[in-house]
Amino acid sequence: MNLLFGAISYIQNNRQVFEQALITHLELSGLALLIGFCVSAPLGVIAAKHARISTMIMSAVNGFRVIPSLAILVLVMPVLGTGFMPSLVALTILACPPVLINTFLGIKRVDGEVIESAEGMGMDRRWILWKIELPLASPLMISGVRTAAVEVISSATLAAFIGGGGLGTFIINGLGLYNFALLLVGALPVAILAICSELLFSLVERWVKRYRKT
Amino acid sequence: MTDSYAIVFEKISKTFKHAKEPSVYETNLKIEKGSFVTILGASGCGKTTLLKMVNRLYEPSTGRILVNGEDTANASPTLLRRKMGYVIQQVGLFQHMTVEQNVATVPEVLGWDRQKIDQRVDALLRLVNLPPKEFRKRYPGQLSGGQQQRVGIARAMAADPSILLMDEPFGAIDAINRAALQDEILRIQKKLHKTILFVTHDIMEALKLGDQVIIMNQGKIQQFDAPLAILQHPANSFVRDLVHPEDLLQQMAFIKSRDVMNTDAAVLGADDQTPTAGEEESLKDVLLLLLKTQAEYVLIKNTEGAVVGRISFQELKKVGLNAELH
Ligand SMILES: Nc1ncnc2c1ncn2[C@@H]1O[C@H](COP(=O)(O)OP(=O)(O)OP(=O)(O)O)[C@@H](O)[C@H]1O
Ligand SMILES: [Mg+2]
Repeated sequence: MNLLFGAISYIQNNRQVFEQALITHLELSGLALLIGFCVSAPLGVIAAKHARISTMIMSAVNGFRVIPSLAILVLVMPVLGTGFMPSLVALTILACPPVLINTFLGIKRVDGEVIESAEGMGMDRRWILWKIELPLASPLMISGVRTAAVEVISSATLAAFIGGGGLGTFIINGLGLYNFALLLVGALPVAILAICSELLFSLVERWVKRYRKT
Repeated sequence: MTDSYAIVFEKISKTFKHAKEPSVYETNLKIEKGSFVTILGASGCGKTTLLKMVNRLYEPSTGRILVNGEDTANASPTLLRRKMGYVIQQVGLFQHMTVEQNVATVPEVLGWDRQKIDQRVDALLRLVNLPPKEFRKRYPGQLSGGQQQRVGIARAMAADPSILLMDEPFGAIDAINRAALQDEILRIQKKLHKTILFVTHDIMEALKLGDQVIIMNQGKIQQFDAPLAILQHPANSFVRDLVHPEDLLQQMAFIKSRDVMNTDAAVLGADDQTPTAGEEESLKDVLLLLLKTQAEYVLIKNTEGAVVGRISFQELKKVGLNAELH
């Protein structure tokens, strides 16, 4: 309890620092997620449509997936240096695989009969993609985003290691100073953010799946 | 004159890539405008392949298909398809769209305005006996199989195509609902005079629905004729074995006129030439009478000699349909 009070009073006394860290954390995660989505969703669609390059893309993605998040952060450092940008790049790379894989699977799993029936009604490829395939794939895609979001929000903590800022700063300082209250100032909000994003995307997922039998 | 034909198959055949045998051998067919043509045959005989060549889901290997006089090869496939309704084997409704969105698919592709689409959706749902109020906002997952089929039919007719292609639309439906849907599609066709190509592997369905029936076996057309003509003059042993006309006649010997006659007072008008039969007489006798006199119908009298109904080929057709042939 004392630790918690310590953390809260630290936040009250250092409002600006805390808010700044929180905002950076949100910016890092949000941007990484957004860019990651914009890159990997189209890639997922392309992979699903073209059998020849799909194996290439998918094995590359699976390769990336086994690299731990800290390793990615450390690996971008020699190339991009330290600070916000390299952190963002690293987190974006982290965000991609779940979205890409789920988009790929989501599109692949759309029933051939449904596509044929759409073609039979004279829809062209574009219509079929936007009106049929993507909506049908969206529950899976969103569950990919959900996974990515949790991963990115928690990994953004590590950005502090390469000077990216964010809530991880408190954790590193707390560890360094043996100040567990300070550690909580970083850890608690990260946990809460992760849970909130999980809840938020679950709701969105439920909503896009509303047509399934309830 | 090709003009009175909705669909003309000219030397059409289809051999799939890497296939040894054609799935459809060279075929010539002329489908009249406004006719209901059923395609009957066992699984794998090429019914779907024949149908899909019409809207170019499959491209023919040889020959050409004229739709309303125009070679389909010259049309853009998407534009061609928007002018034809298509009901796929296994419904294929869009599960993520409501009933109204499903039905509105083609009008939306065609860019109709909202109001026109709305009215059209209502009209179509009423046509297939799904009250719009109750069904518009439902998702396919919340409908029974039969209701889904109705939506499939409404969707296919959305842009008022003159031609409907239907691939075993009632395949997955229980017998009772199936009969209801069959009556429905017949009623719709009588009302709207669509040209319908309807694939089925149910003999009774083919004979009941079709003005004409195409019988296929192993990629070859065995016979293309009116149902009664097929029963009377099967073109070969395959057709004979398939439809078992003897069985049907045997069945007819056990059915009484009273049970199938049309009792609608409006149709009872007659002149002296019209043949008559007693209401206890068998359908077999009525059929023979019809064939002998070449009359359009036979009037049915009760034991007092009063006219109580009539039987035409129409009613006979219905019987054929409900009788279990095997
Ligand atoms: N896309 C395809 N590629 C290769 N062969 C095919 C293809 N579609 C159908 N065939 C073959 O062509 C033949 C006819 O198939 P088709 O689907 O037309 O049969 P069908 O009469 O509709 O059967 P069912 O009643 O089972 O639907 C079959 O032997 C089938 O294996
Ligand atoms: Mg078929």
